[in-house]
Amino acid sequence: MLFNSFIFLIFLGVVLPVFYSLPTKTAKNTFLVICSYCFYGYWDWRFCILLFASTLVDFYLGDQIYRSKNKLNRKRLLSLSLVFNLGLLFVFKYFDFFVTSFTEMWSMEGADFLHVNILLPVGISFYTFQTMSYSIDIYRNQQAPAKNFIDFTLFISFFPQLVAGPIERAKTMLPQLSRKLSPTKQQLKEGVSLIVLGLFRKVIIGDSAGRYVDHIYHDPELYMSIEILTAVLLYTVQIYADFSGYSRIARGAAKMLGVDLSINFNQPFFSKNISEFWRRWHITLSTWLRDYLYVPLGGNRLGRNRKSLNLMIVMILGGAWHGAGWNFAIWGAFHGFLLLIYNLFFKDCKWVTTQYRVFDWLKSLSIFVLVSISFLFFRTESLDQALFISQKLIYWEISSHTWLFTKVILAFLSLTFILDLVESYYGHTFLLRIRSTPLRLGITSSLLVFTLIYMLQTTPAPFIYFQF
Amino acid sequence: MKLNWIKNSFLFLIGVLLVLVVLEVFLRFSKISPPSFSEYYEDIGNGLAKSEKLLFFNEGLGIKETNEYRFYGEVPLQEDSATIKIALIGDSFIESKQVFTRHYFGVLLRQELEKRLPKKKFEVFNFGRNGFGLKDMYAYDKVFVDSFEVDYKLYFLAQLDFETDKTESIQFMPKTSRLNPWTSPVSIEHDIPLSELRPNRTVQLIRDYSITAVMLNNGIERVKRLGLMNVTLRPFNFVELEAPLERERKFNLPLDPLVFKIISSLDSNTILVKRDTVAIPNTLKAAYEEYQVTHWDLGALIQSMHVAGNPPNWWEVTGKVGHWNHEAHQELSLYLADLLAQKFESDNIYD
Repeated sequence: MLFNSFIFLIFLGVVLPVFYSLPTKTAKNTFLVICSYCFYGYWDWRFCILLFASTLVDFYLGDQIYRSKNKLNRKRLLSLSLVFNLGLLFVFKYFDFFVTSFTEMWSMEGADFLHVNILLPVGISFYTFQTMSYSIDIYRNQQAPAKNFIDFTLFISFFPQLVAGPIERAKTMLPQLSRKLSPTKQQLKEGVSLIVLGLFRKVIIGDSAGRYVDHIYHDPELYMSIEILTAVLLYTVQIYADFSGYSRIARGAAKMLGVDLSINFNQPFFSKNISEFWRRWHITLSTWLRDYLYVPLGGNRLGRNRKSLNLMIVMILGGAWHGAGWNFAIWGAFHGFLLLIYNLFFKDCKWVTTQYRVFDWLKSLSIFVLVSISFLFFRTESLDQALFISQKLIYWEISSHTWLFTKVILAFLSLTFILDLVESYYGHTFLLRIRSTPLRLGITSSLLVFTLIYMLQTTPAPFIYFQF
Repeated sequence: MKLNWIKNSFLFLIGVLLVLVVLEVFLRFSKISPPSFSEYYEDIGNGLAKSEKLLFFNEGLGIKETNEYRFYGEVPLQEDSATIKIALIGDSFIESKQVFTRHYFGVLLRQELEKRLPKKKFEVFNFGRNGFGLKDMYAYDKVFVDSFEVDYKLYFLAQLDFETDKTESIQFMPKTSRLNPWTSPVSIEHDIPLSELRPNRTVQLIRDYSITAVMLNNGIERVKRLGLMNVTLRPFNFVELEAPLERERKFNLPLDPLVFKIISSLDSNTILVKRDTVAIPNTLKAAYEEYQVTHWDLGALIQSMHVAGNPPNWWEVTGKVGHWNHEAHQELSLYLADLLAQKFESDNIYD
């Protein structure tokens, strides 16, 4: 079920009143588990089996790790959990990719039978990371296992964040789920505000930018430089609006159920350096990679060279987490390289750390450009296509549509920038800061109605991060 | 109490207007939804707006530019005798809002003809209009296209243009002028009152100037077309869509008697081009012979594209079956260039 579809709004319209009317914590949580499985099974009911298996295995192993006093045994149990979760990811997400790469590398013909050809379960990367962090936290004695299986099942399958995050930790979610969920008035208000603004970002900015991007990236040879540039810049706008919009809807829907989810995006394009960008972009993945990969590898404790190596490993694996393709690994490596350059040459540079507003804007602009270049590798289907597009941008062609596409770029960038600017001053629920209730209602309802009108005239576009 | 209510309503309206203004500005610049593209003219009825440039998202991504003469494309309209003018008249397939002008088969056709006949100059005009049937084409030709004194007129027709069903259901669309079927040959009348062409002037004005209103209208049309349940409840399909196979179609309904009247009234420089794969019935062939109408058939080309696994109306990006795609425009231009070259030869136009 897509958040930007009418069926989800109907689903939410049915779930909320029933949820509010349930009297006990167990009834509420059980109902939410059922709803979450219905939400997930709406794509393909078989996905639910996998989700349940993952939940069952980690609930059991988490409990066993906690009970075990033997260090070696704990390690074995943790390994079992990791092998299971990473195994799921490997089989469903990466197996065919490795088979294809291997057969191509060795020019093996007739090796098609090796492919498993399984449909990628939606959001598998998100919930496997969530279950893995649960087991690791218990192993590290940072988390006690869930006492209640229903609570744990809800922690893994909670529909607002099941398919595209935020990747939550047990220590923030389980305490909330172990209480009777009853949203406060403030949470309800914030929930509505986040859903409306999230839908607006996703549908009006993300989906409409995607319409340019999809056509131009599909046949770049048909288009001139300015049109290619539009696609490259708008893809950055699209992926940001798409994913941050999704995260807002997820947070909004969760708030209406009395659950506070983590903030996943915090105006990343206001970052003044690439390191700051990664502290503002997909925050729950960045912190996950930091806590469960970068730190165990040694982090920055083992000297400059080792730190650089660790950074590269984390960024490449982080890139590969997004999908089975060399383009994602290249995207990760590109960001790793930018981080290395920043750490080696710019981090302590005086003019970089100077706090002048003009410089800040220039720094943010350069981050936007660099990130847009990196997304070129993320979006293209092959390295050849990425190089072709790069050539088109370097060897500039004159087009009669230059002004038209310049206006398109400016329109999308301006709206994104204005929304981010307002959010940076007044927070993600800035609509609630409008004191006049009728004025706030007028703005909120017209934003919602306008988004619904747009949704009515087009087929809903899936969230980009669903495929991960 | 009452004053408070008025104040609240006013503030609510201010909020709504604020959002609407911001979004209208965004939509105008971002071009994600085009405004109304038609304009009413006393001489031709509803025509294309002058000197507009609009972006369209449908099956493809297209840009259409109208010129000061109220049709598509940059046309110098040269008067020298070395220039051969060709008018392409038809429906949305010919209008081709799905592609950029530089990928349009008319433009490619001109380039191909100039390559083959370097001593000649060519001008290919796009007179395609969404929803046009044979009668609309004929009327448009008589009241508008004729004034450009073209050398060749190509009418692009499909099965529906010949059948009674379509012609009856459109009831002389007030897109152009009214055709009087009772005279022989068919005559054009300009007796449609303005009120009939623009049923509600206020609604029309809002639609002309507000993109939000156009979007709402598109949404309503989509719900009417697909049904509310289909629009709201259909699950998203993650499986990659594939191009459907071409179905074999036949003429199902009786031929419209008006078709024969129009055929008998066509100018001698008119060429009827069938743009689908449906075989022409014998009665129609006989009419072509009787009135010595040049007629071409794109059926073989379209069929060959299907057989080769490149369905001409399949759009991979949007997963839609619709109008001709980029490859079809390319193929079509070459095919038509062949046919036109032969025609020029038979007409001794090389001299």
